[in-house]
Amino acid sequence: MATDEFSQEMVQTPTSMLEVEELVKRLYLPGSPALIVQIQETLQKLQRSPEGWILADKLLESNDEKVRFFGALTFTVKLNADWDSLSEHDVQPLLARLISWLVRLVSRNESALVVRKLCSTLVAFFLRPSVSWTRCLRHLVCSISAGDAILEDALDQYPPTPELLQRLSLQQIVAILWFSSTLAEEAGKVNIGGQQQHSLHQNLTPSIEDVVVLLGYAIAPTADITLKQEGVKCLQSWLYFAHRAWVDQDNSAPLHTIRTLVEPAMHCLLNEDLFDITIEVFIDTLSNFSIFFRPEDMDALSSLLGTEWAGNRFQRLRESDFEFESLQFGRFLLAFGDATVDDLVKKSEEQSTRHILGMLHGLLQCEGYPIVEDEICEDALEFWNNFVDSMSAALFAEEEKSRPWMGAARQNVIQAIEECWGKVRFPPSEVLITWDSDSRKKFQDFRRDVNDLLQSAYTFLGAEVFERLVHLARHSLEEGAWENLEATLFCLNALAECISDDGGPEDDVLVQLLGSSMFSQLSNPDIPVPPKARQTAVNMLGHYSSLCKRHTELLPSALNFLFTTLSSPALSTPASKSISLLCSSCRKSLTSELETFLEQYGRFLAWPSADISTKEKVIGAIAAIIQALPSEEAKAAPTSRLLQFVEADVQSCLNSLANGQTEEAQGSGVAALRCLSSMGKLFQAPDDLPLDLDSETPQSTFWDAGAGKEIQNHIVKLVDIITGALSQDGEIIEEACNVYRSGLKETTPGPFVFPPSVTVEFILKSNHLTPRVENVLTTACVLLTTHLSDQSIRIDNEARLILLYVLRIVQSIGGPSNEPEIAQSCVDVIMRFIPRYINVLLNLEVQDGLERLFAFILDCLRGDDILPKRSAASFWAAFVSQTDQPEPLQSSINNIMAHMGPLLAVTLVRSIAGGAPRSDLDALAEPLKKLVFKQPRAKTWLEGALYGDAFPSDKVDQKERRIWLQKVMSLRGSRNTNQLVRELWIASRGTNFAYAS
Amino acid sequence: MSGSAYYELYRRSSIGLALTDTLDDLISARRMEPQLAMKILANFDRSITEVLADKVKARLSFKGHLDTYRFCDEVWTFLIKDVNFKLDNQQQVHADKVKIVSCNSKRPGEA
Repeated sequence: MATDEFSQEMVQTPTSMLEVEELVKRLYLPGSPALIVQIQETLQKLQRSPEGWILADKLLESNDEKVRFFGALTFTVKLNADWDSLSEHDVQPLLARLISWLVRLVSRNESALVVRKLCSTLVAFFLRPSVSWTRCLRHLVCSISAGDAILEDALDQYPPTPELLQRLSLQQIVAILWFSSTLAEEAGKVNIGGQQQHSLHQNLTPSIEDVVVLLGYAIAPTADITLKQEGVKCLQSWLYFAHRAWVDQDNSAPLHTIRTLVEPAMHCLLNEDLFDITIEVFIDTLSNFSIFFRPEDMDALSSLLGTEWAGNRFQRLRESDFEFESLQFGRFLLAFGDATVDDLVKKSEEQSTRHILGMLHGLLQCEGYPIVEDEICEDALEFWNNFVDSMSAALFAEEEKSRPWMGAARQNVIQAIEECWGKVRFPPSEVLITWDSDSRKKFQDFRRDVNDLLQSAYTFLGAEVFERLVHLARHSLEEGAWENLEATLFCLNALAECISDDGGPEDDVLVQLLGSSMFSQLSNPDIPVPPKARQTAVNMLGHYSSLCKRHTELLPSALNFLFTTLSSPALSTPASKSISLLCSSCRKSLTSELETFLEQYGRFLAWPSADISTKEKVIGAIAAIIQALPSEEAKAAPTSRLLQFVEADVQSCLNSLANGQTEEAQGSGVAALRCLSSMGKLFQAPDDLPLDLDSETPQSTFWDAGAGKEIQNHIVKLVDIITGALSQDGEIIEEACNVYRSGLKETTPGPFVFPPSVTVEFILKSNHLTPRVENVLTTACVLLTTHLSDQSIRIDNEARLILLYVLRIVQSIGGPSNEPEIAQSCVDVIMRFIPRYINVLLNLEVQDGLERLFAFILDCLRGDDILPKRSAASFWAAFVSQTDQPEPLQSSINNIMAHMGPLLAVTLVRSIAGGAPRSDLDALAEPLKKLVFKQPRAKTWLEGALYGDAFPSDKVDQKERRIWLQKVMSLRGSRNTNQLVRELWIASRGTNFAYAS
Repeated sequence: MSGSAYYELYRRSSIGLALTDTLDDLISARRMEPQLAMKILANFDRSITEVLADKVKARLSFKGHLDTYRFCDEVWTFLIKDVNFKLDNQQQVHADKVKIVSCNSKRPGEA
C-alpha cells in the first residue's frame, strides 16, 4: 500500500525528522528505479543543505540501523562536498563529534555496517587536504578508552597505547582495526607523485608506530581468533599501502617499523583458521613487494618451509589435492621461489636451498594432466622459466670465467626439463576424447610454455639436452612407448630453432635418431601408433629441413614416410607442409628423384586426402625440385607434366559449371589457381644462392622466346579459362592475381615470369564492378614497384595503360567514400608512378584526366575514410617532394603545385585544426613537413589556409596561428613538427581534448 | 597490486588509437567528460598490459642482424636489420628493419 502511494505521487520534501527517517527507510525497500531516483534526489538535497550537519547527527540517533548508516553517509557527503562551508574553528569540534559517535555506537554493540561506515567517514575527514590529524589512531584508542572524544592535545596524558589496548573490548579494537584498514586503503588510492600524496604521507608517518602496535596486539599468538583475522586483513591493507608509498625507499623508517610484524604474521600461517587470509598476504607480498622482507625474514620463511607443517601441506599437493588451500600453499612456495630465485640459482648446493628446490621440482611432479587436472604445474613451469632467466642474467653479469654455481644449476634445469617431459605427454585417446576444446587448448598452451623453457635452457645445456632427448626417444622407440616418443619428438621440435644454420655437434646426435628405423616403424600399418605421434614426427621433418639439407642421406626414408602419411586424411595437412619445406630446402639433392615425385603425385591425386590445401603444397614442392634442375630446357617437360595435373582441375571446373554445379566448379577453379600460384612461388630461386657478379653468361631466352614460351602461354590460358568462366567470383579473381604476382618478384626468367604486357592484359580485363578488384589494383602496384629501380627495364607503355585503367575506375566509382577500399588501391597505384614514371603521369592524354586524378586524391585526404586518407597523405608527401625532375617535367610539376598547393594547404590545415581524428595526425604531418621543406611558397599557402575563412576553430586566435606557423616553418620539416601538429589540434578542439597526448 | 602504475605505451597501438578516437567523438558529442576519458585510458593501460601478459599465447621467433642496441633509463632499444619472423604456423614474414623497444614490466622493488 505504502509502495503504491509513493509510486503514484511525487516524493515530497520531508518537513520533520520522522518523515526523513521514513524516506530513508523507503530508499532501501524495493521500488521502481524512477522512484528510487526521486528519493535519492530529495535526500541529497537535504544532505547538501546547510542543515545537513545537524541532520547527520539526528539520523545517527535513530533506532533503525539503515537510518544510522545514512547518518554516517551524510557526514561523509558533507565532508567531501561542503568542507569549504566550515570555518577553521568548526574542524576540531566536528572531529570530536565524529569520534564521539564512534565511541557511543561501538559501546552499544552497533552493527558492522554502521561502524564501518562511520570509520570511512573518519577516514574521509583525515584525507581532507587541510586537516592535520597526525595521531589519529592513538586519538581513537584513547577516546574509546576514555568513553568519549578527548582533545588531541591531551594524548600524552594517557597511558601508552599497548596498555590501553588491553583495557578495550574485542568490539572496540575491531572498530579501530576497521578504521586502520580503511585508512590504508583510501590513502593508497591517492595519485602517486602528487603534492596531495606527499602531504598525506607526512600526515600518516607519525601514525605508523601506532598501527604497528595495534596490529602487533591483534595478531599476537595469544590474541582472540576474530581479532587475529581482522588484524591480518588490516596488515594486508597496510602492506598494499606500503608497497605503493615506499617501494623505492627500501630503508625508510615506516617500512622498518612494519617489518616487525612479519614474525607474528608467520605464526598466524600455522593456525588452520587463519591460513587462508594469511597465506594470501604472504603470496601477494612475496610476488609484488619482495624487498619488504629482510634477509632474516627470508631465512625464517625458508625454515618454515622445512617444517613438518609445510611437508604435510606439500604432500597433499603432490597427491593431487588441488583444493584452494593446497593450491595456495603451492603458490606461496612458488612466490618464495620467485623472490629468492637468484639465491636458488647460485646456492643450489646448500642444504636449505636444496630442500626448497626439491619442493619446487615436486610441483612439476604432481599427479594428473597439466591444467586439466594438475592446476599447479603451469605456475611451477613459470618459476622454472624464471630460474633459467636468472641463470642467464647471472651468466652475463659475471665476468669471471669459473662459475662454481653453474654445474648444480644446470642439473636442476635438466631435472626440470625431464619433469616437464613427463607432463607434456598426451593422454591415451580414450581420455583425450573426454576433454572439451578449452581443456585441449590449455593443454596445448602448457606444451608451448615448455617450449620456452627448452629454448631458454639450450643456452646453458647445449648439445647435452639433445643427447638426453634422443636417448629418451630411442628408448621409447625400442619399447614401443608411443606417447613417450611423441613427447620427446615434441621437445626436439621445440629446439630446432636453436641449431645454427651450419649445424654443430647436435647434428650427429639427431642423425642417430632420424637415420634410425623410426620412420619405417611409424609408417608401418601393422604397428598401432597413435596418430598424434605420427603427426609430431611429420612436423619434425619440417622443423629439421635444414638438417636434412646437410645430411641428404636422411631424405629417402623421410620422404617415403611423408608420402605414406599423406594418405591419411588426418595427417595429410602436416605431411604436405613438411614435404613442401623439405623439398624447398633440399631441392638440389632431390632432382634425381623428380620422376618418382611426379608419379607419387599422380597417385596421391586419387586419394581422398587430396584436397586444395594438400595439393597446392605438394605440387609446389615438386615445382621447387624442378626449379633446381641445371638447365631451363630440362625444366620444360616436368613443368608441363605438372600443368597437366592442373588441367584436370580446370576441366573439372568447366564440367561442373556445365552441369550447373556452381559450388563444385568454384572449388575446382580455386584448386587449379592455388596450385598454379604455389608452383609460381616455389619456382622462385632461393634467396640464399650465391650471386656471381663477374658472370657474363647472358640470361636465358628460353621462357621469353624459346620453347618455354608455350608453357607460359599454357599457364596464362589456364588462368584465362577459369577467370572467364567464373568472372564474378571474388576468390577466383584473388587467386588469379596471386598467380601473376608469383613471378613478378623474380629477377631471372622462368615459367611464371611473364612479360609485363601479359600482366597488364590481365589487369585491363577488370573494372570497378569486378569482385575484389582491389587485388587487381595491388597486382598493378607490384608490377610497377618491380620496375621502379634503374636496373629494371622501363615499362612506360604498360604504365600508361595502367594509368588510364585507374582513371576509368576513379571516374566510375565517383567519390572516394563510395568505395573506400578501391579508392585507396587507386591512390596506391598512382603513387607508384613517382618518381620513375612521373612523365607518364604528367602526360596523361585524357582531357582533364590529370586534374580529376589530383582532385580525387585531395578528396581522399579530406574524407572520413581512414585508409584512402592515409594513402593520399603518402601520395602528397611524395609528390610535393618532386623538385629535381628534368625539364619540362619540373615545370609541369611546378604548375600543378601552383594550382594544388593552396588547396592542399587548406585541406591539411582544416584537418590538423581539429577536423581529423587524433589518430590521423602523424600521417597528416608527413605532407605538411614535405611541403614546408620542399616548396618555397609553402608559407604563403599555409598563411592563406590559417588566416582564411576555412579555418575551422574559433579557439585559436590569429596571433596563436601566426606563432604556430612561425614554429612550423622554423622546424623545416623536422620530426618535431608532429608535436606542433598535435598542439594545434588540441588548441583548436579545446582543453577537453588535452586528456591524452 | 592495486597501487601499480602502468605504461602508456599501448595507447599508440591500433586499438589504443581507435579507443582514443572514440573517446574524442564522445567528448565532442558531450556524452562524456574528459575526466572519465582519462580514467578509461588508465583502465586501458592496465587491461591491455594484463591481457597481453596473461591471455596471449601466440608466439613467434625471429632471426636478424643486430645493428644497434642501447639501454637507457631502464629501456632497452634494439635496431635489427634483415629480420625473418617465423610464426606459429611456420609462416614467415620478412622485414628490412625492425626496432624493438622494451620496458621493464615491473617497477623497482617488485619481484
